[in-house]
Amino acid sequence: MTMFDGPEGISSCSHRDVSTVALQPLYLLNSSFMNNRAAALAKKVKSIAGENTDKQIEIAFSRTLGRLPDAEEKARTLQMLKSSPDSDLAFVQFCHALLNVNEFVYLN
Amino acid sequence: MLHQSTLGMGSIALASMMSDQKLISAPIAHRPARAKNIIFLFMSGGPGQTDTFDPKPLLQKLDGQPVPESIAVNVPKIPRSGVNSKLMASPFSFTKYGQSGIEVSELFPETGKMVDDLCVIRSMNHRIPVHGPSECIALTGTAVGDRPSMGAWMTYGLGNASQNLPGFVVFLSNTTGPAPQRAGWGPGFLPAQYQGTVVDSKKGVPFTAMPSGYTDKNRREQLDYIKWMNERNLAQHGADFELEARIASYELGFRMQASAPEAFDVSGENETTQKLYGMDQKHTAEFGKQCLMARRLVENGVRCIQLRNGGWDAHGSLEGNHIARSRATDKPIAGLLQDLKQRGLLDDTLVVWGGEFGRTPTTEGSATGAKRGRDHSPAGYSVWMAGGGVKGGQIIGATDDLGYVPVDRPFSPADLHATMLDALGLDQHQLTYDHKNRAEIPTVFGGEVIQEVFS
Repeated sequence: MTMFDGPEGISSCSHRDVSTVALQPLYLLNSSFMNNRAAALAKKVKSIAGENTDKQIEIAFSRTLGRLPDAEEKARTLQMLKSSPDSDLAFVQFCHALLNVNEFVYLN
Repeated sequence: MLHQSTLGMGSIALASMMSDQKLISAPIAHRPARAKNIIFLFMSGGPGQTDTFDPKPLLQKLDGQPVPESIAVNVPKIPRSGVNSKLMASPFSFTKYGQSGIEVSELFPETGKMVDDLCVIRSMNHRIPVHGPSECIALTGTAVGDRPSMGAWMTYGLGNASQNLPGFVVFLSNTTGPAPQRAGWGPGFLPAQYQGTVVDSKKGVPFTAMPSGYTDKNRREQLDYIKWMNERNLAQHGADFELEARIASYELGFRMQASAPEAFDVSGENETTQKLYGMDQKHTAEFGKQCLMARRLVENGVRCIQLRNGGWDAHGSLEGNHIARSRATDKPIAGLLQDLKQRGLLDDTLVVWGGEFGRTPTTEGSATGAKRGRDHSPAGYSVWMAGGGVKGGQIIGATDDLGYVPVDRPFSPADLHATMLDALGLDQHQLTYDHKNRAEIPTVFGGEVIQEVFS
């Protein structure tokens, strides 16, 4: 929490500071917690979507970003998924990537 | 942006954070800096001043006697002052070292050889006799633990000169003693980027190892995907410094992942250097490695390093405790000073040694013989500084004839903080951060530069 400007529990906090440091993405990319969340997300998406890759991408987008991917995004995602010989691993890494994109990390 | 959310992330909206280069914050300079870097050797638990850097011949004579009224009358009325207990002679002898002839306890034969580089301050004092809050006082300036650590203030003031490493690195060792106080390296109300990064000396920077299944290739694929998504997001929202800063932070994170392990890898150091730090001996191996890493980090642009060594809390069996603690740290510390000196880095690097308080000149409780120890005593204790413009071979301040309280030039931890900041070119009155509509400074309850520290 401290890494993400969580306030100290021992004094009042009228305004939350926000900072952007390299340790934050390192945590989001490399911690076992985030990797496990990505694996859980991948499993959940597949249990809903079945074997249809298009459907999987749509469910993954809607569950993380609250919207469906457009055609370009779908194509770019397919390109990423095809870059790895291990399709299960690639899908987990795609889910992990979604948990790292600005649109997920920030609320507008 | 997610300012109010629990996991709020974003930048402090620095308009300059347009590229990853500019994630490296710019330094503030109030006056010419004597030092560029600081290494704080924090000896947690409280080394006894009368056993380390403040010899008291009278204490040796009065062993087992009550505290004379003439001295007791000046001891502050704080809990655990030990003033009604029997005096305890130091189990350690002192030897004069160097040209300056400053006396150093037999606990530190190696550090003693460097005494002409040390400025020993014998008149530190505060009023909190408990570890946690005292550690907060020693490292943040106040006992509550809600304010920024000095390291965070320094990193805020100095900026980060390293492209690939955190600006403030903390090592913990021998943490079995009093619990390490996170506030000691925390950011307080400063933005999180200024907090110390605790580095495991065996593992290096946290989260630089990729989870299983990742390779450089598929991680690059993933980062490219994230970047593509972010840039698209950015294009839809127009220019946004925070989003751009986050994109940049991913690139810095990736570089840190690639290069940080190298900075922490001491295996390439030659045998002579490793031996200098005591890495070849079992009892000095851990702290020696951390001291050597500290030098490597200084070389790599890390400005602020804290090495916390715990366990100096010698309530009982002080003799055995202090022998063990000094044996683990004396050679590494002397090695660090020598190595910095021979590489021309000592002039640019301020080294500070000290704990959160000292120990009573009296025995705690009714223990006898080698089981005797001392209670906490914030009323008077010693620290030393070296390098970074410090005039070595001098003693500043003095305690009374038994080492209880300062009788000359009493200083608070905040005075030490102001002095450390001054060495780095930072003025404690001008280094401000706006928090709750108040321009906060590092030394909120006062604290002035100890001018005579510097040559």
